[in-house]
Amino acid sequence: MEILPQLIAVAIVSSALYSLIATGLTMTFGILEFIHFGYGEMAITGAYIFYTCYMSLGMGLIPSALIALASVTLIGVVIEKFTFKPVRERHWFIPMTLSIGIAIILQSAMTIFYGGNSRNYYASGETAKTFELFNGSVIITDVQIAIVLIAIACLLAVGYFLKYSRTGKAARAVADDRDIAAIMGINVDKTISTIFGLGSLLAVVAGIMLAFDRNLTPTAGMLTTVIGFCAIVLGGVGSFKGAIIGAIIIGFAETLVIGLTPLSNSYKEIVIFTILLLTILIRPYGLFGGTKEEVESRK
Amino acid sequence: MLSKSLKILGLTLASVALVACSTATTETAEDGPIKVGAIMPLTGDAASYGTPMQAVAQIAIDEINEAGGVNGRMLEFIWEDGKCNGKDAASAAQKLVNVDKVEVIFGGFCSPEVLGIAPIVNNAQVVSLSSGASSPAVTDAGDFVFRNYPSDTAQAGIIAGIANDMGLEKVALLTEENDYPIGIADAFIENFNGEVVSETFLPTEVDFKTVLTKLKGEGADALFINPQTGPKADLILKQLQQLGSDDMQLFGNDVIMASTDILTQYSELTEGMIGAQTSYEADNPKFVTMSATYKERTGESEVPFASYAATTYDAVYLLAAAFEDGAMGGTALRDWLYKVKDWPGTAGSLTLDKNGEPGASHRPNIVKDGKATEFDPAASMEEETTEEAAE
Repeated sequence: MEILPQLIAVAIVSSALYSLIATGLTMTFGILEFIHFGYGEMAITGAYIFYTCYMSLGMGLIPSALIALASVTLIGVVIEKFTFKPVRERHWFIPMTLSIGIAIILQSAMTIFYGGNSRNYYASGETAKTFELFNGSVIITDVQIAIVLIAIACLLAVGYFLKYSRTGKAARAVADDRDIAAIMGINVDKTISTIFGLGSLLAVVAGIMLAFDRNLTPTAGMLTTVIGFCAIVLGGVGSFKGAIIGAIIIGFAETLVIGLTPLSNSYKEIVIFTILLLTILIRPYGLFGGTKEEVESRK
Repeated sequence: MLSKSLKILGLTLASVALVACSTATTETAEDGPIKVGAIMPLTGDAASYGTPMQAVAQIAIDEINEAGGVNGRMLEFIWEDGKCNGKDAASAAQKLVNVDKVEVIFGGFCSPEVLGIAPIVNNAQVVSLSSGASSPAVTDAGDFVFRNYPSDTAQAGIIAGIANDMGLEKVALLTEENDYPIGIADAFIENFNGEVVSETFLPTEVDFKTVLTKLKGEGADALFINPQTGPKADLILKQLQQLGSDDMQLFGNDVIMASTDILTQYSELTEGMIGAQTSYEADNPKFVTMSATYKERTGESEVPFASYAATTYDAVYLLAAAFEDGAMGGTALRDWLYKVKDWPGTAGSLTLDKNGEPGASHRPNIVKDGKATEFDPAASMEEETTEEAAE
């Protein structure tokens, strides 16, 4: 049986999920300038709120998603205001440590409220609709098609927002140089708040879709953050395009290497991080981060 | 200033002394509670069986205490989370042995937990009794490590035997990198006559689409799904259902065969799945009472992982029986356990051998309408031959 078409389909779905995580993460990183370790947990928290609305309370898909998006965006803005903002001018090490704390608090809270069991968005006996494409050589589900379409829509919207909207331009200015942006009359607090909220929103979209595809456990957040960062570093820190390309490379590499070579599935993470290490060896600033000379001339 | 600090120091010392006195008095009291350390996977994927089994053990504890305890003393379990891995179980055991000073540990439940605590309990001469660890590696884990759940060598042997009888030539085997499934995988590979295409995955894995596509591409006659926990089984079956199982014969380890929820959820896909489980006495009056209490307490319609529930419930009663005979812990309890012979429990009659474990009691199972049922391979072979003859 020819398995390549199916593997490519699997890779596209993974790439879509990783792209969303990586872009949300790169936005928060660009503007806050530290690694937000609680990012994956925000995604999973959103997915759990969605679970409560959709599965436990029996609300519809759209209202459940809206409630999850609104609550986590709000949680994100509140977290930024009360934890990261007071230490914004301090060494990056301090907010980073706080973000680890947030990750642990969110993860523990979810374990306490929902238990360690994994959760499924499908009721007993209910399954995803599957479609056979290309004479049955590719089998894909309704949810997977939705994941790819929603991811593309979100990425286009975010790209447009950052490039053309007033807040988007302000965000790029703040990411470039916070002090100069402030002197130019940009409301830095408001901009950071908005971008952090938007990043959280993307996290929830990714979290819900991840859970549809791969079920939901309270501990799933950390791996999500790690893959997101891996994509960012691969693509080049601070580059929106780089984050997406990095995510696509990871999605395809893990699928094709495991699927087509005798390497066992256990090697998946080793494959991802070997590719990362090799890329950084050749291009220390990532694929879209420019060469060493370019980066230094920018300084 | 100085006098104030001195006062605080004095007060602190006094309170430390008081606490020391009070613990000393309770520990020596002959009528105080019997402390038992307990290690189970209470968070993470394995909590899917850890939490229900904690509830089952608690039913046995409550029954014993409500009936007046053991020789008038209450049983007191100190629960710790082993998270189904050796590292967390070992630190839990350190705490139980060194801080709580327990002389017996109930658990761990997972094989990695038991193997993680083995060096600690053997050194400290504290007995550990597991009601769920089934890895063949536990057999040689030491003199103080006991279990009333049989080793998996038999489970995998039965499944391999059925695969041989069915004339299967190539079996795809998907195994989680953990002591319990690896034990099964090794025994299966050893006993199966045909070719085994083996794939492994890490406990952190959540996406099985790639590896399932790969295994489907191997053109195997059967797929043996061999995870450590129910949630992993759930994910694998969910993604297999989406990709289609191509009419491969499915085999499942006893985590899947015992997960009533999972078999119901994927009843269509798992129809005809074959595995082997330890037997238990579903109509044993004690099992029936326990099951009723469980349903009443949790609101669930059934006791999940019934074969584990039977051994877990029995393990509490087994310890109580030892305590009643004065074997309170350490070497006395060890020697008592080695003498256990034909002890009546809900999992059947229990005899512990020289390795501190029971003989195999696995029986072949087949999934029918979302339920694991008894399977008679000989009868089914006969049926098939008559069908073929009729055709």
